[in-house]
Amino acid sequence: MMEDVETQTHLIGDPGEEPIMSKIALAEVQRAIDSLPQEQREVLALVCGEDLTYREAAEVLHVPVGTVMSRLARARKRLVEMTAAA
Amino acid sequence: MSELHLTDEVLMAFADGELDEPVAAAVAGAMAQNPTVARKIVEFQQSRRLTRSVFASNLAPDVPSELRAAVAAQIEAYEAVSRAGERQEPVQTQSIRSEWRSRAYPMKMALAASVAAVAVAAGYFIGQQSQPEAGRLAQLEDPLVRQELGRLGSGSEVELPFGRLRVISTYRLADQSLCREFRLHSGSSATDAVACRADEWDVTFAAAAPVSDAEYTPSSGGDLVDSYLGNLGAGPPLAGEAEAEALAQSAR
Repeated sequence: MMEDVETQTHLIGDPGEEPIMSKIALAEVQRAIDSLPQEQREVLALVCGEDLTYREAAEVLHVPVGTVMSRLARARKRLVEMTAAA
Repeated sequence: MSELHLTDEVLMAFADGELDEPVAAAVAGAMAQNPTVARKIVEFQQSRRLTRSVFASNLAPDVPSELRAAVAAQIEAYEAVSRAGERQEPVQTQSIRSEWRSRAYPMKMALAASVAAVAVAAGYFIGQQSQPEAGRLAQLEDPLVRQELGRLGSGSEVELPFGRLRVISTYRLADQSLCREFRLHSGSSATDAVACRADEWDVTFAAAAPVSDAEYTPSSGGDLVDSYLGNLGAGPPLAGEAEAEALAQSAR
Protein backbone atom coordinates (compact mmCIF):
# COMPACT_ATOMS: atom_id res chain seq x y z
CA MET A 1 0.00 0.00 0.00
CA MET A 2 2.89 2.35 -0.65
CA GLU A 3 1.00 3.24 -3.75
CA ASP A 4 -1.09 5.90 -2.06
CA VAL A 5 1.86 7.94 -1.02
CA GLU A 6 3.70 7.51 -4.27
CA THR A 7 0.66 8.58 -6.25
CA GLN A 8 0.36 11.60 -4.09
CA THR A 9 3.88 12.83 -4.76
CA HIS A 10 3.17 12.62 -8.45
CA LEU A 11 -0.05 14.56 -8.18
CA ILE A 12 0.68 17.29 -5.74
CA GLY A 13 2.26 20.59 -6.49
CA ASP A 14 3.81 22.05 -9.55
CA PRO A 15 6.00 19.37 -11.14
CA GLY A 16 8.45 22.11 -12.05
CA GLU A 17 9.08 22.72 -8.39
CA GLU A 18 9.88 20.52 -5.47
CA PRO A 19 6.82 18.45 -4.62
CA ILE A 20 5.69 19.53 -1.20
CA MET A 21 5.00 16.04 -0.02
CA SER A 22 8.22 14.47 -1.17
CA LYS A 23 9.87 14.62 2.22
CA ILE A 24 7.01 13.09 4.09
CA ALA A 25 7.78 9.44 4.36
CA LEU A 26 5.43 6.97 5.92
CA ALA A 27 7.90 6.51 8.75
CA GLU A 28 7.46 10.13 9.72
CA VAL A 29 3.71 9.77 9.78
CA GLN A 30 4.23 6.66 11.86
CA ARG A 31 6.30 8.62 14.36
CA ALA A 32 3.62 11.27 14.50
CA ILE A 33 1.00 8.62 15.23
CA ASP A 34 3.25 7.17 17.93
CA SER A 35 3.36 10.48 19.71
CA LEU A 36 -0.41 10.73 20.04
CA PRO A 37 -2.19 9.82 23.27
CA GLN A 38 -3.44 6.24 23.31
CA GLU A 39 -7.12 7.24 23.16
CA GLN A 40 -6.48 9.26 20.00
CA ARG A 41 -4.44 6.48 18.38
CA GLU A 42 -7.25 4.00 19.01
CA VAL A 43 -9.89 6.06 17.30
CA LEU A 44 -7.48 6.87 14.46
CA ALA A 45 -6.83 3.17 13.95
CA LEU A 46 -10.51 2.33 13.87
CA VAL A 47 -11.72 5.12 11.60
CA CYS A 48 -8.75 5.86 9.35
CA GLY A 49 -6.98 2.50 9.55
CA GLU A 50 -9.96 0.17 9.51
CA ASP A 51 -12.60 2.33 7.86
CA LEU A 52 -15.18 2.11 10.61
CA THR A 53 -17.81 4.84 10.70
CA TYR A 54 -17.77 7.19 13.68
CA ARG A 55 -20.75 5.36 15.06
CA GLU A 56 -19.14 1.96 14.72
CA ALA A 57 -15.98 3.23 16.38
CA ALA A 58 -18.06 4.69 19.21
CA GLU A 59 -19.69 1.30 19.76
CA VAL A 60 -16.38 -0.53 19.76
CA LEU A 61 -14.81 1.92 22.19
CA HIS A 62 -17.93 2.36 24.34
CA VAL A 63 -17.80 6.13 24.09
CA PRO A 64 -20.24 8.67 22.62
CA VAL A 65 -19.93 9.55 18.93
CA GLY A 66 -19.07 13.13 19.92
CA THR A 67 -16.07 11.84 21.85
CA VAL A 68 -14.91 9.83 18.84
CA MET A 69 -15.16 12.94 16.68
CA SER A 70 -13.31 15.24 19.06
CA ARG A 71 -10.50 12.72 19.63
CA LEU A 72 -10.24 12.01 15.93
CA ALA A 73 -10.19 15.67 14.93
CA ARG A 74 -7.48 16.43 17.50
CA ALA A 75 -5.40 13.47 16.35
CA ARG A 76 -5.63 14.38 12.70
CA LYS A 77 -4.91 18.06 13.22
CA ARG A 78 -1.84 17.06 15.16
CA LEU A 79 -0.73 14.71 12.38
CA VAL A 80 -1.09 17.44 9.80
CA GLU A 81 0.89 19.88 11.96
CA MET A 82 3.67 17.38 12.56
CA THR A 83 3.97 16.20 8.98
CA ALA A 84 3.79 19.76 7.65
CA ALA A 85 6.72 20.68 9.88
CA ALA A 86 8.73 17.71 8.65
CA MET B 1 -31.33 27.40 8.15
CA SER B 2 -29.56 28.51 11.28
CA GLU B 3 -25.96 29.55 10.91
CA LEU B 4 -23.63 26.63 10.52
CA HIS B 5 -20.58 26.65 12.75
CA LEU B 6 -17.75 25.11 10.83
CA THR B 7 -15.99 23.42 13.70
CA ASP B 8 -13.09 21.08 13.05
CA GLU B 9 -15.42 18.18 13.80
CA VAL B 10 -17.93 19.30 11.18
CA LEU B 11 -15.25 19.78 8.53
CA MET B 12 -13.71 16.42 9.40
CA ALA B 13 -17.09 14.70 9.15
CA PHE B 14 -17.57 16.28 5.74
CA ALA B 15 -14.14 15.06 4.65
CA ASP B 16 -15.05 11.57 5.83
CA GLY B 17 -18.43 11.54 4.12
CA GLU B 18 -20.19 11.33 7.47
CA LEU B 19 -22.43 14.38 7.16
CA ASP B 20 -26.05 14.15 6.12
CA GLU B 21 -27.75 16.63 3.87
CA PRO B 22 -28.41 19.52 4.12
CA VAL B 23 -25.39 20.09 6.33
CA ALA B 24 -23.08 18.49 3.79
CA ALA B 25 -24.39 20.80 1.09
CA ALA B 26 -23.87 23.80 3.35
CA VAL B 27 -20.28 22.77 4.02
CA ALA B 28 -19.71 22.19 0.30
CA GLY B 29 -20.98 25.72 -0.32
CA ALA B 30 -18.62 27.11 2.31
CA MET B 31 -15.80 25.13 0.76
CA ALA B 32 -16.47 26.72 -2.60
CA GLN B 33 -16.37 30.21 -1.18
CA ASN B 34 -13.59 29.93 1.33
CA PRO B 35 -10.12 28.58 0.55
CA THR B 36 -9.35 28.21 4.26
CA VAL B 37 -12.31 25.91 4.73
CA ALA B 38 -11.32 23.96 1.62
CA ARG B 39 -7.81 23.59 2.90
CA LYS B 40 -8.92 22.32 6.31
CA ILE B 41 -11.17 19.74 4.69
CA VAL B 42 -8.35 18.63 2.49
CA GLU B 43 -6.02 18.30 5.42
CA PHE B 44 -8.50 15.98 7.09
CA GLN B 45 -8.67 13.94 3.90
CA GLN B 46 -4.92 13.89 3.67
CA SER B 47 -4.45 12.79 7.26
CA ARG B 48 -6.86 9.95 6.68
CA ARG B 49 -5.01 8.80 3.60
CA LEU B 50 -1.63 8.97 5.27
CA THR B 51 -2.88 7.13 8.32
CA ARG B 52 -4.44 4.50 6.15
CA SER B 53 -1.17 4.02 4.30
CA VAL B 54 0.74 3.62 7.55
CA PHE B 55 -1.68 1.07 8.96
CA ALA B 56 -1.81 -0.82 5.70
CA SER B 57 1.92 -0.83 5.09
CA ASN B 58 3.18 -2.38 8.33
CA LEU B 59 6.19 -0.19 7.74
CA ALA B 60 6.77 0.22 11.44
CA PRO B 61 5.54 -3.04 12.89
CA ASP B 62 5.93 -2.10 16.55
CA VAL B 63 3.08 0.26 17.23
CA PRO B 64 0.69 -0.75 14.47
CA SER B 65 0.80 -4.38 15.53
CA GLU B 66 0.15 -3.41 19.16
CA LEU B 67 -2.66 -1.19 18.08
CA ARG B 68 -4.04 -3.81 15.78
CA ALA B 69 -4.02 -6.29 18.64
CA ALA B 70 -5.77 -3.82 20.91
CA VAL B 71 -8.32 -3.02 18.27
CA ALA B 72 -8.83 -6.69 17.45
CA ALA B 73 -9.42 -7.44 21.13
CA GLN B 74 -11.94 -4.67 21.35
CA ILE B 75 -13.69 -5.93 18.26
CA GLU B 76 -13.80 -9.47 19.61
CA ALA B 77 -15.33 -8.15 22.80
CA TYR B 78 -17.77 -6.09 20.85
CA GLU B 79 -18.77 -9.02 18.69
CA ALA B 80 -19.29 -11.20 21.73
CA VAL B 81 -21.64 -8.57 23.14
CA SER B 82 -23.30 -8.26 19.77
CA ARG B 83 -23.89 -11.97 19.51
CA ALA B 84 -25.32 -12.01 23.01
CA GLY B 85 -27.64 -9.18 22.10
CA GLU B 86 -28.70 -10.56 18.77
CA ARG B 87 -32.32 -10.93 19.70
CA GLN B 88 -32.65 -7.31 20.76
CA GLU B 89 -30.59 -5.97 17.89
CA PRO B 90 -31.34 -8.02 14.80
CA VAL B 91 -29.71 -5.45 12.55
CA GLN B 92 -26.34 -6.23 14.07
CA THR B 93 -26.41 -9.99 13.66
CA GLN B 94 -23.94 -9.50 10.92
CA SER B 95 -20.72 -8.84 12.74
CA ILE B 96 -19.23 -5.42 12.52
CA ARG B 97 -15.99 -7.00 11.39
CA SER B 98 -17.41 -8.73 8.36
CA GLU B 99 -19.39 -5.65 7.57
CA TRP B 100 -16.40 -3.42 7.28
CA ARG B 101 -14.05 -6.04 5.91
CA SER B 102 -16.46 -6.73 3.08
CA ARG B 103 -16.70 -3.11 2.13
CA ALA B 104 -14.86 -2.55 -1.05
CA TYR B 105 -12.48 0.37 -0.91
CA PRO B 106 -15.22 2.92 -0.50
CA MET B 107 -16.03 5.31 -3.27
CA LYS B 108 -15.84 8.18 -0.89
CA MET B 109 -12.26 7.28 -0.07
CA ALA B 110 -11.32 7.23 -3.72
CA LEU B 111 -12.90 10.62 -4.13
CA ALA B 112 -11.31 11.87 -0.95
CA ALA B 113 -7.91 10.80 -2.19
CA SER B 114 -8.24 12.63 -5.46
CA VAL B 115 -9.73 15.70 -3.87
CA ALA B 116 -6.96 15.76 -1.32
CA ALA B 117 -4.48 16.19 -4.08
CA VAL B 118 -6.61 18.95 -5.54
CA ALA B 119 -6.97 21.16 -2.65
CA VAL B 120 -3.47 20.68 -1.42
CA ALA B 121 -2.47 22.00 -4.79
CA ALA B 122 -4.77 24.95 -4.24
CA GLY B 123 -3.45 25.52 -0.76
CA TYR B 124 0.05 25.40 -2.09
CA PHE B 125 -0.82 27.83 -4.77
CA ILE B 126 -2.61 30.24 -2.52
CA GLY B 127 -0.13 29.84 0.27
CA GLN B 128 2.81 31.09 -1.76
CA GLN B 129 1.86 34.73 -1.72
CA SER B 130 5.39 36.04 -2.06
CA GLN B 131 6.16 33.75 -4.97
CA PRO B 132 5.29 34.17 -8.65
CA GLU B 133 2.11 32.22 -7.91
CA ALA B 134 0.68 35.32 -6.29
CA GLY B 135 1.05 37.11 -9.58
CA ARG B 136 -0.58 34.22 -11.39
CA LEU B 137 -3.49 34.28 -8.98
CA ALA B 138 -3.89 38.00 -9.61
CA GLN B 139 -4.00 37.28 -13.35
CA LEU B 140 -6.78 34.77 -12.83
CA GLU B 141 -8.90 37.50 -11.28
CA ASP B 142 -7.85 40.20 -13.69
CA PRO B 143 -10.81 42.31 -14.87
CA LEU B 144 -10.18 41.09 -18.43
CA VAL B 145 -10.45 37.47 -17.36
CA ARG B 146 -13.60 38.20 -15.38
CA GLN B 147 -15.11 39.99 -18.35
CA GLU B 148 -14.43 37.05 -20.66
CA LEU B 149 -15.73 34.55 -18.13
CA GLY B 150 -19.02 36.40 -18.26
CA ARG B 151 -19.46 36.03 -22.01
CA LEU B 152 -17.14 33.46 -23.61
CA GLY B 153 -18.79 30.16 -24.50
CA SER B 154 -17.21 26.91 -23.36
CA GLY B 155 -14.53 25.71 -25.74
CA SER B 156 -13.71 29.24 -26.86
CA GLU B 157 -10.50 31.07 -26.22
CA VAL B 158 -9.17 34.57 -26.38
CA GLU B 159 -5.73 36.18 -26.32
CA LEU B 160 -5.21 38.56 -23.40
CA PRO B 161 -2.15 40.76 -22.81
CA PHE B 162 -0.76 38.29 -20.26
CA GLY B 163 -1.74 34.98 -21.81
CA ARG B 164 -4.34 32.89 -23.60
CA LEU B 165 -7.60 32.23 -21.82
CA ARG B 166 -9.61 29.15 -22.68
CA VAL B 167 -12.99 28.57 -21.07
CA ILE B 168 -13.48 24.85 -20.66
CA SER B 169 -16.90 24.32 -19.14
CA THR B 170 -19.72 25.74 -17.09
CA TYR B 171 -21.50 24.12 -14.16
CA ARG B 172 -24.22 24.84 -11.72
CA LEU B 173 -23.54 23.66 -8.19
CA ALA B 174 -26.08 22.14 -5.86
CA ASP B 175 -26.63 25.57 -4.28
CA GLN B 176 -27.37 26.98 -7.78
CA SER B 177 -24.24 29.09 -7.95
CA LEU B 178 -22.63 29.22 -11.37
CA CYS B 179 -19.01 28.14 -11.81
CA ARG B 180 -16.69 27.99 -14.81
CA GLU B 181 -13.60 25.93 -15.38
CA PHE B 182 -10.94 27.65 -17.41
CA ARG B 183 -7.28 27.52 -18.30
CA LEU B 184 -4.86 30.40 -18.55
CA HIS B 185 -1.70 29.80 -20.57
CA SER B 186 0.89 32.28 -19.51
CA GLY B 187 4.54 31.98 -20.44
CA SER B 188 5.78 28.48 -19.68
CA SER B 189 2.90 27.43 -17.49
CA ALA B 190 -0.79 26.81 -17.66
CA THR B 191 -3.15 27.19 -14.78
CA ASP B 192 -6.39 25.28 -14.52
CA ALA B 193 -8.85 27.15 -12.38
CA VAL B 194 -12.44 27.34 -11.28
CA ALA B 195 -14.23 30.63 -10.75
CA CYS B 196 -17.69 30.93 -9.25
CA ARG B 197 -19.97 33.86 -9.71
CA ALA B 198 -20.90 35.84 -6.61
CA ASP B 199 -20.85 39.60 -7.17
CA GLU B 200 -17.92 38.89 -9.44
CA TRP B 201 -16.19 35.83 -10.86
CA ASP B 202 -14.09 34.76 -7.91
CA VAL B 203 -11.42 32.10 -8.30
CA THR B 204 -12.09 29.31 -5.82
CA PHE B 205 -9.49 26.86 -6.99
CA ALA B 206 -6.35 26.85 -9.07
CA ALA B 207 -3.73 24.29 -9.99
CA ALA B 208 -0.66 25.18 -11.98
CA ALA B 209 0.95 22.83 -14.46
CA PRO B 210 3.80 23.21 -16.93
CA VAL B 211 2.78 23.64 -20.54
CA SER B 212 3.13 20.50 -22.57
CA ASP B 213 3.99 20.42 -26.23
CA ALA B 214 0.64 19.01 -27.14
CA GLU B 215 -1.76 21.90 -27.13
CA TYR B 216 -4.67 20.47 -25.22
CA THR B 217 -3.31 17.41 -23.54
CA PRO B 218 -5.39 17.09 -20.41
CA SER B 219 -3.14 18.09 -17.56
CA SER B 220 -3.22 16.68 -14.07
CA GLY B 221 -4.51 20.12 -13.12
CA GLY B 222 -7.63 19.45 -15.20
CA ASP B 223 -8.19 16.14 -13.44
CA LEU B 224 -7.86 17.89 -10.13
CA VAL B 225 -10.39 20.48 -11.18
CA ASP B 226 -12.83 17.71 -12.11
CA SER B 227 -12.43 16.17 -8.68
CA TYR B 228 -12.89 19.54 -7.06
CA LEU B 229 -16.09 20.21 -8.99
CA GLY B 230 -17.33 16.72 -8.17
CA ASN B 231 -16.82 17.33 -4.50
CA LEU B 232 -18.79 20.55 -4.73
CA GLY B 233 -21.75 18.72 -6.23
CA ALA B 234 -21.49 20.26 -9.68
CA GLY B 235 -24.24 19.21 -12.06
CA PRO B 236 -23.65 18.21 -15.70
CA PRO B 237 -21.85 20.81 -17.81
CA LEU B 238 -24.09 23.46 -19.31
CA ALA B 239 -23.76 23.93 -23.05
CA GLY B 240 -25.20 26.00 -25.87
CA GLU B 241 -28.31 27.94 -25.00
CA ALA B 242 -28.45 26.71 -21.43
CA GLU B 243 -24.98 28.09 -20.86
CA ALA B 244 -25.69 31.38 -22.60
CA GLU B 245 -28.84 31.82 -20.56
CA ALA B 246 -27.06 31.05 -17.30
CA LEU B 247 -24.31 33.53 -18.12
CA ALA B 248 -26.84 36.21 -19.04
CA GLN B 249 -28.71 35.63 -15.78
CA SER B 250 -25.58 35.77 -13.71
CA ALA B 251 -24.62 39.13 -15.20
CA ARG B 252 -27.83 40.75 -14.07
